[in-house]
Amino acid sequence: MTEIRYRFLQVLRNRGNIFWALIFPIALALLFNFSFKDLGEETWKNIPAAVVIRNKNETFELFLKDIDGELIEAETMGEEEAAHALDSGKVSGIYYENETPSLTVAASGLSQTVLASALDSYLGDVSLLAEVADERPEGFEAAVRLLAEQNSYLREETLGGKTYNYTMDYFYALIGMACFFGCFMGMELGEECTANQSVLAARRSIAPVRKGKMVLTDMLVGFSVQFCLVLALLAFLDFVLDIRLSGNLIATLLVCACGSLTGVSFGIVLGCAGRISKSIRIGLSISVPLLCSFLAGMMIGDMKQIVEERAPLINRVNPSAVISDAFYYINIYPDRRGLARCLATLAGISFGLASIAFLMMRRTRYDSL
Amino acid sequence: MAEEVVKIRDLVKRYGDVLALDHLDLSVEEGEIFGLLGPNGSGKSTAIGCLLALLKYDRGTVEVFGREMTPSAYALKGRIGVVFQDVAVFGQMSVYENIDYFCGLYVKDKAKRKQMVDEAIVFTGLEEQLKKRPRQLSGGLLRLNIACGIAHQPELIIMDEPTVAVDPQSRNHILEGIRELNRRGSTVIYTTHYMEEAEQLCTRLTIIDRGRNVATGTAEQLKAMIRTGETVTIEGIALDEERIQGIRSMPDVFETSYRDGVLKIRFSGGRNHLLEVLHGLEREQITFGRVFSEMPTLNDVFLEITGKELRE
Repeated sequence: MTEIRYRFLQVLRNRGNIFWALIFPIALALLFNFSFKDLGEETWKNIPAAVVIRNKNETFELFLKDIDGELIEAETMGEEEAAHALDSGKVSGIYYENETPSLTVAASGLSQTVLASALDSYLGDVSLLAEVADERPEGFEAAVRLLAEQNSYLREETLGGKTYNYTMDYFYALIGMACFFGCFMGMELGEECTANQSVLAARRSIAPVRKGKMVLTDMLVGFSVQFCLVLALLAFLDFVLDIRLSGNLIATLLVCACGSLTGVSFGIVLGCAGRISKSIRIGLSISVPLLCSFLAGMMIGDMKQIVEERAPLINRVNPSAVISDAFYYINIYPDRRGLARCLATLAGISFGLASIAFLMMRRTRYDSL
Repeated sequence: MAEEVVKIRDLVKRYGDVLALDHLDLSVEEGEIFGLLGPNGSGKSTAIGCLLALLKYDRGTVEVFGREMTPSAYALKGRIGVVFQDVAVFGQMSVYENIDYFCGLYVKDKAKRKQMVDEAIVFTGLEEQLKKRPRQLSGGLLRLNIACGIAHQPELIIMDEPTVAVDPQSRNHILEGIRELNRRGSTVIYTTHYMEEAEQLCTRLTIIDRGRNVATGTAEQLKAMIRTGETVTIEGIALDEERIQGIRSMPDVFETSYRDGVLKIRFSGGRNHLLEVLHGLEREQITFGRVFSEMPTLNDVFLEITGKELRE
């Protein structure tokens, strides 16, 4: 118990550990919160569009009526007036009402893309309904209803019925990074168990304490401290920044625990890898969590999707991505199997890394000190 | 006969192509202050690393208290204390916490450990600095390093050059402390490249060079092994070749050197050649400045055996 108590003291008093596992993630969380707050407050402005009626098309008129005031601000004009409005920038595009409606724009940009997408959607639906009317007239009514439901542009809801906010991706990846930054603490603990890393470790190695017990004690201490620091981060996000993550408290704690264990285990392996110089080890203990978090979408929201499309295996083994996925399963898409898979992956990575560390240090004599 | 506390036989250790220990043999007996003397890079620390089962070796055996020393020889490890040359303490813990932590690795009984820790604190004179962190200690850091190594009152204490870069006053304090530990019953292995220190402190010595044991014995025994007895040095003297030849022909002189007005005459065996030299100079009416006589040092022993200075 004395050893555990002193190891706790030593780890808790190490400012580097606290900085990487708590202060740095809190600073990033504040930065994210500040940036996303501005994004959230920006309101959607409907896109001004002119409508020129060349041939009456009631279906198209109904479609325009449906999106008018929600997505676009439609105004019926004459040909010349519409052309003038487009040239002067008063409208972003002109819808020509016809048997087959068309769109004219004067530039390329987000507004023009939205107008084009709306028209494409309409044309696609019309084509589909025409096909259904021809081939299965009995299903026409159902098809109309289904399309009407699909074409709700206004709100996105998840299968779990919870509102999905894209900015949460960043915070999930941030928590993944904070868990993984336990490697910084783990690295120091690993070094202090490995006699060829420091004189301090040599002094500990000549004591009559089993190496396995020493490593296990250090791992337990490192994990406990790291877990508490991650919980402190969650509390900060929840109570200070008002970012709600606690969809299921027990599952959240489990994910944080497994993530923290993975980070600490990775660090211990780094710490006892004698052939890597100290500066490279420090570089790895900082860069690997940052890289994993980057790939999990901490800096670019779509990154995880890009990785998923090109190298899905990375997302399966990247602890930050796995932690991020686990938070999705807890807070957005309730999926017990998915969550269990994430937890098993993190536990498996931790177990593998811890085994490597034990094998590297157990009853070892070194080539040089 | 005293028990053999450490027995190293035919120890060979290579670092790649470099032979660090070359069939090294060592024996340390109970109650000794055993000196391992050699220049930097001679293999002293490597020998200690092998002795503590920290280093792999290519050949040979290492026994401590009559049993093979291995990384899992926990019973043996519990009887050994080590003071490393570099300070090995936790920077985030106070003086008391450090000593208590390292003592706690050896002694589980709380009451017994507290008594041992208190004794180590008194022994190293750290009573006034218990709450300080290591970085706040000025002269006390080395004492803390020693306290952490000896608090559990080991039977065998290994001190690996503990006085390197230490001021003379602290050095004397450390040396006196080692004598005290020895008086209390600990066997001490003391590695150093300071020959004066080894001569002052150690009851028996091994001189090590290029990983080989080149000589073992008491300081007197080692000095008796070599040809050099007394060296007489005369400064401020002007001599021609004829007179130098005359000096060389004196009884027991085996080597003379004369450079920049300084004459050195080395005699084999015994002492008291100074008077004889002074009479000779008076007879020849040779004027001179300062004269002094020196008995051989361990450096002379090292020089004569290896052909190089111990300080090189």
